[in-house]
Amino acid sequence: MALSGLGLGSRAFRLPRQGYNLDECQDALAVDAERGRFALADGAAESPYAALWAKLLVEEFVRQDDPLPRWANWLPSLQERWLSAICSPYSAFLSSRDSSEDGGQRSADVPWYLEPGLTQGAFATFLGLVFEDNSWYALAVGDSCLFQVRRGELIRTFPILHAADFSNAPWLVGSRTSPIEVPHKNGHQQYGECQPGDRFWLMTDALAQWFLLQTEAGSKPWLSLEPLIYPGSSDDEAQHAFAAWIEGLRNERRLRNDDVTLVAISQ
Amino acid sequence: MPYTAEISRSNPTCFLFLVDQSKSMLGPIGGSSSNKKADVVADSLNRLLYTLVLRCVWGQTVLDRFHVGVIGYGRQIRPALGGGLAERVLVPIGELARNPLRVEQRTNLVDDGRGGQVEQIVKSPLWFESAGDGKTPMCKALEQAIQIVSGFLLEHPACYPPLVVNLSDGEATDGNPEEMAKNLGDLASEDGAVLLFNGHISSHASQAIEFPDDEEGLPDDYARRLFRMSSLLPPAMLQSARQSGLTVTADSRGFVFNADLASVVRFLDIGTRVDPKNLR
Repeated sequence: MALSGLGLGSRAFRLPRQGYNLDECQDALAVDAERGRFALADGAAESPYAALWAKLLVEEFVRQDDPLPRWANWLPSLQERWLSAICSPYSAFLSSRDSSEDGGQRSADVPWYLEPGLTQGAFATFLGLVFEDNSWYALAVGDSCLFQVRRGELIRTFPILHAADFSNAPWLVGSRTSPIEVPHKNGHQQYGECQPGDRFWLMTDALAQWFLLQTEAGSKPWLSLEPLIYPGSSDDEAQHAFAAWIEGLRNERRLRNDDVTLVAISQ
Repeated sequence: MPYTAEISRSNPTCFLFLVDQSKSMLGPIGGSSSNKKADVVADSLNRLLYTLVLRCVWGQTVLDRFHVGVIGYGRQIRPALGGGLAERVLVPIGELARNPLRVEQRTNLVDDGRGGQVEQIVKSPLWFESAGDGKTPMCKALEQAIQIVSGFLLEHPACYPPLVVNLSDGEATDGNPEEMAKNLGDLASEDGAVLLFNGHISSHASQAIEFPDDEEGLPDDYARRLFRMSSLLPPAMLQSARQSGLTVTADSRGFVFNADLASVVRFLDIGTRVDPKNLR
């Protein structure tokens, strides 16, 4: 489905891990094809309100104007929004803790097992992609990945280069971490040029790892993905086809059971 | 490949703790004149349960990825969780989270983010209290573990293999527990053999040892026997152990000497972890 403006077409998929509902999926995606802005985030399941944090990150990124906004410019206000959006006894507990008030009473409203996670904050990986004219700019923390394919060849891989580089403890953006910490020190930026016909694939870690394993074995995994996003099919049909394909990979144990998000973008 | 089944609420596994509550546990731990072995074990177990619950927090809830039991062995062999969970053998972890015996408040010093430190009150739940009386019927405790784990395997044949953690000073008084440990290790789910890990809390003043791969360097016969009873760490756990900076080899076993076993819980693969080292 080619769109006006930059002439970008896109299709996005988001699925929970097997045995979970879509409202339990901790991945988030945001697409503004008109403005050429795309983002993915993968909330770390152990932190409370990680799905909310992932959603805030991607939505704010596509609203921004800079191709590569500086973390220090947009993270602090986003962290405040996370704090005000979480359940009120919990935000009151965190506010009292932050201001060193007597937190004893506030803390009575919080189950003990939520306290450490709330205090630490929510965490998510992040990948943002912006198109401007014939260039693209990408920003990443963690293991959500971008692949650029041109004329049947994979020409760019970002930020993880090898399937073996995935771990279950990726770098993360925190809702209560100093903005100059992780994103600044361990964020990656990349840019490149794009040509008509290029295809960009953005995906969260489980699918990205499968993708890299395929390429390392000499296959062209995008050839498996292409039919699923075939522009002729309706979005419903494409969603069903994608869900069935993912289910198949999981059942064959070729794909880790994790939330899966995929955004396909055609130039 | 064994030890790759997903641990989830639809396919939970079982964590069974066997805790030595014999009289010898009232003796001091090696290198200390005041810390009783029984208190060290109670602390260690409460910390393990704390860590295990936190690993199952999902959003605002606790997913029942584990069914947890604690069997004490000393004068009697019986379920040893306290409070509302007394007499229960296996408890879904969400229920465990909501029903500690009591929640104490600890004061921790934490960074204030501005270069200083600030006192922070942290809740510290307890499910289990230390005790020490009678002999050390470790063989019978393992026999009971075999029954409990067999029952769990019948209901969850495809689960990640149940983990049995034995915390003891190693001085069994009802025979040689190695044979019973072997019988326990003969039980299996479709995903692999049941795992037995041992935490040896000893009066022997020797430095802490974690996941050794050889019995040669261990300080006494009790330690060597518990080492032989312990399962090899599955490959995924080895990898996590390496990632957290421990020196382990393919022959490393689930055995620690005068050290904390809470790391075992961290090594289980249950989804993306927030690893403190990756936050800075």
